[in-house]
Amino acid sequence: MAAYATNDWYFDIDGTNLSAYLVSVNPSFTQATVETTAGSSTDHVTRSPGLEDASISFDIRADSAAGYSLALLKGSHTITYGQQGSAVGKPKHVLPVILTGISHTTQVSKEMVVYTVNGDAASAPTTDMYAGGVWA
Amino acid sequence: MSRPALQAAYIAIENRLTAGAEPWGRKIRISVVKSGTTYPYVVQFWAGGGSANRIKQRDAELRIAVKAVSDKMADVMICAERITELLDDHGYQDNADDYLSGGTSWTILSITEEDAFFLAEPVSNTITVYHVGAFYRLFMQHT
Repeated sequence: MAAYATNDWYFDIDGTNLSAYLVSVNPSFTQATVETTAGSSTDHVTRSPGLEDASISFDIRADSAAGYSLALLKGSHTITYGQQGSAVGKPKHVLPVILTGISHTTQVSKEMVVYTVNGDAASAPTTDMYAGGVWA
Repeated sequence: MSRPALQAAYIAIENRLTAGAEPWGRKIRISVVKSGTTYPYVVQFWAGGGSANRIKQRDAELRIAVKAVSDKMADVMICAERITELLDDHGYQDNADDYLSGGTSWTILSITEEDAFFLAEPVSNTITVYHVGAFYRLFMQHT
């Protein structure tokens, strides 16, 4: 075994492979809880699982070769992400998303232009890496 | 066979500085200049940088010093200004109509002039040799 420390990821939006342009990606999962504490002599809070939610944020670089359409960075899409590529058995995450924010900066100092994109889940992941989802 | 980024940068700068009729002619040297080389001449040498790791593909961010050398201050100043005109902001993404070619292995995306330097070197009681130039930052992507 070894710690995973490389950038051999897979990333597509609606099937367009953007792996080469991705700078960073952060798929997240949250689990709400509902307090269920009851009884007069209870001395500890109890909770039950509430609604799950998911979101994703990523940075993707601009490229003069126009390897992708900026339209992919706005609206509703399906994002497929493989943390360790797309080999069978490796983690896979497929998330329908509504992209909620996009920004970028160009600077006179010629820093690389990167689009910062945020999105909220439109529904549950169809393949959830945080629930054991893998490439088949 | 692919070239290292530094070699591609050296070649690109030499090609650029010898493309036209310039005061230094074809006298562009890398780091070392043979004794007896007539003035003015131009020297380029590595001054920092290497692989940048800013993108997944191979890339490089190099700092290369380019200077003119002459025993006449007026000449060396003219040469230094001409070097600036030829190199600064002449990467592919700086000026797609007029840019330094990185050859088949590399694209030079941007070239930015940074710090300038001036050195007066007394080589005898009557002769002073002047070194005037600047550091250039090249951001490159492997093709």
